[in-house]
Amino acid sequence: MEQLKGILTPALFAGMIRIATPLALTAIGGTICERSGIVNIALEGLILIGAFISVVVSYFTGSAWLGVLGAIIVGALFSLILAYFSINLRSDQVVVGTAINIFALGATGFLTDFIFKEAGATPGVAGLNPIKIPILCNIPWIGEIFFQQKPIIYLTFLIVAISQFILFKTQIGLRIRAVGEHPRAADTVGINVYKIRYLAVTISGALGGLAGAQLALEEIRRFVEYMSGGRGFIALAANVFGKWTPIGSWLGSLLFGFAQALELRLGIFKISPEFIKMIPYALTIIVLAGAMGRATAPVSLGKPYIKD
Amino acid sequence: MKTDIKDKEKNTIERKNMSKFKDNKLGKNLLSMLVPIGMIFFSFFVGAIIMLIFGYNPIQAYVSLMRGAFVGNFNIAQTLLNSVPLIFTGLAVAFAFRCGLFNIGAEGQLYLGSLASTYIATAIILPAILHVPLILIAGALAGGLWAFLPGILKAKTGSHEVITTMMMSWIGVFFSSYVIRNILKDPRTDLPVSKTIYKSAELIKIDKILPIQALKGTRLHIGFFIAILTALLIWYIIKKTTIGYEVRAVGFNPYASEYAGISISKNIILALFISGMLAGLAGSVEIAGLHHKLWDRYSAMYGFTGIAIALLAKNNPIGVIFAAILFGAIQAGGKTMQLDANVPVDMTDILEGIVIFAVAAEEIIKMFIRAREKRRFARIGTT
Repeated sequence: MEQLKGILTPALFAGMIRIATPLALTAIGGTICERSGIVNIALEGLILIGAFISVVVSYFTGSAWLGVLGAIIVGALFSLILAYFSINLRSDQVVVGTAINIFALGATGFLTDFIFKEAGATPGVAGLNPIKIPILCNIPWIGEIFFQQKPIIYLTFLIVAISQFILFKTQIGLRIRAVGEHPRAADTVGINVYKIRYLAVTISGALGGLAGAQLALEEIRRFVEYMSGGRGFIALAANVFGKWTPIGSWLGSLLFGFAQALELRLGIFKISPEFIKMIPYALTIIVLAGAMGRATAPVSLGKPYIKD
Repeated sequence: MKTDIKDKEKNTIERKNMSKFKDNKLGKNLLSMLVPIGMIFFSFFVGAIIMLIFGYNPIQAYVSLMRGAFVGNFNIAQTLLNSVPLIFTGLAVAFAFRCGLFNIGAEGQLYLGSLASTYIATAIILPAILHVPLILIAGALAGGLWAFLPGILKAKTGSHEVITTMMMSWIGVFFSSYVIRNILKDPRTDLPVSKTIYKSAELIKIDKILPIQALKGTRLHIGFFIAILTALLIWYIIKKTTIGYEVRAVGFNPYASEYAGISISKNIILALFISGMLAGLAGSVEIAGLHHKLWDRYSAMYGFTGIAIALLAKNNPIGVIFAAILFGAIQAGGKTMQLDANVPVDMTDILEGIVIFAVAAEEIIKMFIRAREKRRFARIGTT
């Protein structure tokens, strides 16, 4: 019991939120993209590109915020590759996603070497510092967990709420879901399927880029080769775990973040870290097996739409 | 009766068209070989443009890449050694593709295969004639089992295999990490590596049994031949057996197959199981042939590269061999390219990515051909 008290501190939950942030941003991007019917395996590569660009821009301009902006823009532009191949060329979306991941891994490594003449990692850059929200940050527990964080983490709370609202309460959200469920019907009532899908993919690219910037500028303040470390795939798991909703994706990310934050403090227990690392993936399998209600993907997910 | 007449009609028509058909088939085969080769050249061309943009000399880079891959005993052996696990993972992805399934989790299946093989190879001593086959069987079964659950889930709940095989893959990576660090661990070191396997479990080096001058003194082992034989076996299964026919039928049109009495569920599960077995074998052969011990996270993304290989080979098992050797060569030559032409070794990943993009864009070519055929049909229709 005493041991448990030593572990369940505000710092643990603050850590959970920190770790969950890049996962949540990426997972929400994945949710929006897949709701429109495009499978996004490329999330991993998008995080990597975002992280790299944010560091490069921050390095040359000295401004971390310009780095964030750059990551969002380049993430969005990079995702256009996925959009063009899967929407216009009707390529297999998983194949394109795989290509983007491998290409991103190569391109960021290549450019790190080219720009900084160093293999594997860039020098440190200006990052983003924590902002204490006045008054709120002094609330015991809650203050330390929620209100002494870094800026993109606050931004993420907003993005969760806004994306949930947009996807389920607005016309554009309805259109995104419509083209993912039944594009032909959507087309018939005058919705431009291609345009909506382009929009959804670009949003996922921007969010993936932002996630990369968060990781690079708020966590380690430099770019390290393959620093995405599989987060794109955990985000995909969080999206499935959250049953293709932004709030669900966020909750899934928090759960996975909690597991990882716990892993860092679990020395006292006799649980191997490897088993904690399995949790996101194992839970997703359990969800898909139907143990927690039905988890159904959008009907037209992965199917190219052919306009006659 | 009716079918008899129909058959006869079909036969005469077929015989009439035989000569034409043969020509077409030959043309088709040639085309199906030319398209991947064209894609490779296209990808290298794009890679050259990228290198030019960044001020590198692409010709020097490719020459040193080729030299690092194909000149000298050790470079040739390295290219072939690299290709061994890639042939297996390429076959794994290709076989599942034939059933319309995307096994994106070959990486985890490979680790499970490595794990099972290492266990058998370090726990018991047997005569080599028994030990080696046992290791291969254990690895194949472990890999197969890892893909079995996604198969069941796909068949029973319709969960997409892309998600489930990927999730199982990561579980496999961490599970094997745990086993290596806690159960199979070599007590003499702090590094995350298993005990060394017994000599009786090792695959023989090729230069010990065949007097090939080009492979003298190299580490190339008979796993390369096992890989090629496996490719031939898979080709045979796909083309000549009922299993292969049913798997392909389900991949081609699941509903029509069901209507014809072929079980979709059974074939999905079977296809993923066999696919997992092939990926598991990749791990077994790497351990028994090359590393002789199991390092944590040793696989250089063989599972993912397998996807590229299967796609480039158009899921043809024989094509997989050549595609795997190509990728093995790119990886082998990368270091020489960095040393001689100063091009960062990451260029090889970029090339790999471009090759997959080129494969993905193949739809453009198909669209073009389809449009041409449509026009031709339209002409025939009017005359």
